[in-house]
Amino acid sequence: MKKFLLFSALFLMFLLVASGCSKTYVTGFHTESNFAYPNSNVTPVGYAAGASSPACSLFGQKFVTSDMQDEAVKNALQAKQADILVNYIAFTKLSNFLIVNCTEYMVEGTAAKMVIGTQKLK
Amino acid sequence: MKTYGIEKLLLFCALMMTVGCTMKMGSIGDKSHFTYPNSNVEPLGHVSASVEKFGLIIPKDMTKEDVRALFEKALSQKAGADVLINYKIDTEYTVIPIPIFSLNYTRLYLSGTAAKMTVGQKELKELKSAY
Repeated sequence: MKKFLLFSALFLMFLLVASGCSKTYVTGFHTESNFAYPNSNVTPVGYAAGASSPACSLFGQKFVTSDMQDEAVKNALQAKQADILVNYIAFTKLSNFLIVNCTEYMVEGTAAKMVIGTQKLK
Repeated sequence: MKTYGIEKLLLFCALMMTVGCTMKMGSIGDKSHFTYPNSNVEPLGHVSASVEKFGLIIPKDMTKEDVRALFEKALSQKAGADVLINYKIDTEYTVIPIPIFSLNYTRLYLSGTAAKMTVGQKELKELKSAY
């Protein structure tokens, strides 16, 4: 009975630790992901969301890099065959599992197509 | 035999201390300067630039002058470029913790598309809103 209780307690503790902890932070509201040319026509094509691959490390937590942000935006745009993400919200997700710490960058907003031309100016 | 064990432990600790670590942090940006809505922007090509700083014991920080110089360095690679668009900027910090003297290496890296902006005047109608 004692052994069973001990085993159960250990198993419960393992489950608690193994379940880890995941936190998602809103890191900003942005108007555009890429440069919107003033000499262009921008047409919204719908909602899009994307995420970067998780960047994991032992013990320490990795920071968000430009490559992660770029990957998340590209993944969001790929689904809609769009050129630019407008009015989008960015999230940073931090996950911890035992000694493994992962960082993920996510975006969601409106995907839009952009056709660049030349505007008539005086 | 016991001394040999301590030597091995010390050697392991020394190796661990010289491994060091690298941390990288950065973001993307759509434009480096204000782009006038009454302008035509034309991309000129991909550019990149970096600035490094090396510090003994104390790491050297990047200043706003370094960042400005970095953007200027990138833009100077294309004749007539006024603005850097769709850029990526990252700071990489490496520390090699050698006992007494730790070596600190800071690198700021920038890449993006250089573009030329031609500012003109749009034809505008009178604003009807009373606000």
